[in-house]
Amino acid sequence: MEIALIGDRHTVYGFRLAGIRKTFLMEEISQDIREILKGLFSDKVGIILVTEKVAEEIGNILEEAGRLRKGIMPIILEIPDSSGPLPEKIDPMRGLIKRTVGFEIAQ
Amino acid sequence: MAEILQNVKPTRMELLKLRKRIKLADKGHRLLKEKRDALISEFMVVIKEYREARKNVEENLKIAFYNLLMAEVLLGSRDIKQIAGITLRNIDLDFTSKNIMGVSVPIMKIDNLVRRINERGYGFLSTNAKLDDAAKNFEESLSVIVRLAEVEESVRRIAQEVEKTKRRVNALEYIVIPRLKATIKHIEMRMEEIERESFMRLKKIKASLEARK
Repeated sequence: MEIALIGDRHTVYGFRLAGIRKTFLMEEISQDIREILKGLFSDKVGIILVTEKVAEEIGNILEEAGRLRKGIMPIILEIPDSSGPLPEKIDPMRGLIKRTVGFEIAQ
Repeated sequence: MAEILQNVKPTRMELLKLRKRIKLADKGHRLLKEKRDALISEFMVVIKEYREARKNVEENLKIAFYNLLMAEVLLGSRDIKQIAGITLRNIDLDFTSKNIMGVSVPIMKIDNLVRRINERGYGFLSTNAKLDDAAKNFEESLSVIVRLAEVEESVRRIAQEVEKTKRRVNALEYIVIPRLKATIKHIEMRMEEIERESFMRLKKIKASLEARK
């Protein structure tokens, strides 16, 4: 199984250095992102990495795609890009924790 | 007072049936509550792991991006682009799943990703040590990222299951069980009423028979 990445220039170069084959540069994507995601879903991709900024741009498409997947893969994971994590994404699970447990858990 | 179930005739049969149902609902309620508590404690464990993994990824990537930037400054972005085109390889991710309290969570295994400098495929003449560092950092980050993906997905899935279980517990506790109880009470009162009625009727008949003598 493979890992794929959609991100900006630095993330793409960085992870290509680490060896990831399926990288998509956000600025150079001309076709529909939906098509790309569909392709990734049907190929054997285990994790799709998306930088936080890109995830903000195409958040609803990702969500839509997430509902299409069968079973537990692929996993879509947001990672910080070269400028570090976005301030609103520092603790992305906060809302989820509050909803499930009923209160917030200190770090 | 909760509303009563519709279409229930006030008979002894129905009463017995309802009593059985309430017993079952109580049992289910207790079991689901236990499941919810167990899931929440599992959630706490996973969330702690998640926070560690996330911090790990952030720190790793920070260093990696810094080194990449340094390499780019020294080599130029065109060279970086070219080099980034030849270091590709097959990554083998082993994907299985594990069952925690009825929730399937992913388990991923990945081989050691860090390559030796001469395995990456670029020449040493036109590159520098910062590039080697950057590549190494990204390779290292990749394994912590895989770990993060695994944990994040577990968190999401367990949270989903907790919510589902909570909804069921609440539905049983606040709707199903009170409704059953109210219906049982309704039937009992109705049956007492019928009993009183027939008792009165008997008395009346007896009195009228007595009067006729």
